[in-house]
Amino acid sequence: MSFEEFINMNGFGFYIWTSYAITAIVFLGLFIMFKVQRNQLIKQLRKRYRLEERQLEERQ
Amino acid sequence: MNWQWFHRLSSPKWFYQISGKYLPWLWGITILLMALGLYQGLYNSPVDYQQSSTVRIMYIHVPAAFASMMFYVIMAIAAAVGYIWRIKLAHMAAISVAPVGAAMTLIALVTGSLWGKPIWNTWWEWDARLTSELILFFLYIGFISLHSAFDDREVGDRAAGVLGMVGVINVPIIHFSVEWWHTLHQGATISKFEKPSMDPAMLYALLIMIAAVTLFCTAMMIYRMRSEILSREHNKKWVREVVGL
Repeated sequence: MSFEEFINMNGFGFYIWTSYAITAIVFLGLFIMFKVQRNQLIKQLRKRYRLEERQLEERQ
Repeated sequence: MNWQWFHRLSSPKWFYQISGKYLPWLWGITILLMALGLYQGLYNSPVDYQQSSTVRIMYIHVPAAFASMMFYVIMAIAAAVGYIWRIKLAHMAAISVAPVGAAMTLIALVTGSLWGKPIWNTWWEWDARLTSELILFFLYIGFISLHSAFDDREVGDRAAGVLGMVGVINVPIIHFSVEWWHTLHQGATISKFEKPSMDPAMLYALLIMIAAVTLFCTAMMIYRMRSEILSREHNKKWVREVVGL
């Protein structure tokens, strides 16, 4: 099978490659969404802990 | 019966530690299986005698559709366990798996549409299988929206949990829709184990892709749960140590 034949997929290339491309985008998008959420959460928590620590020191 | 294992398993701290240890392995196996499945499905398998190359859409459409239903059941069971035994980790599992399941439902719908156009000559048809899968998508979205509608996360857990449990009735409807109603959609592909109706190379590609997509969803769910645990247990000392200053 030549490269052109592989891409062409007997004339159905558009439907097949679009399916796989959208799947890849959704998979990656989901992962990036979770990753960003996690990074933001950790950033927020660190800020919060630092603030609490500062308040504790001021009280002492 | 000794229930100690159950309590240990439902401890967020224990889950966080053990999942951190095994998650990289899960990602590794997922990527390997995905690569093998894609090679097998897109290249190293024959074309269908009726559907030509469009059969290659099956290797992502069927695994996504399978995962969309399986992870809905997992979400409903998690919500029920959380609701009945008030186990926090179960609620965290339910809300973590919802976006993953919604994504799989979306992929099943979109790839189904892209398969339907060349074979059925239509992007969409309001028939039983397609409509019930679309309802599944709305159930996931409803679960997520309802959960986020409450300021008190525990109220959200329970409210969304009820919706999730009731909605599980839709899963057998999706599965049997092709038998119960007259539909454009073809029947089950691989449940006929006694008389395999497909080429072994196709079956092999399909099974690998089902395994790969299921593992991907599992890994994503665990990854999301780990964030959910940190967020909900943020007052615990161990979380403080994990997050650092």
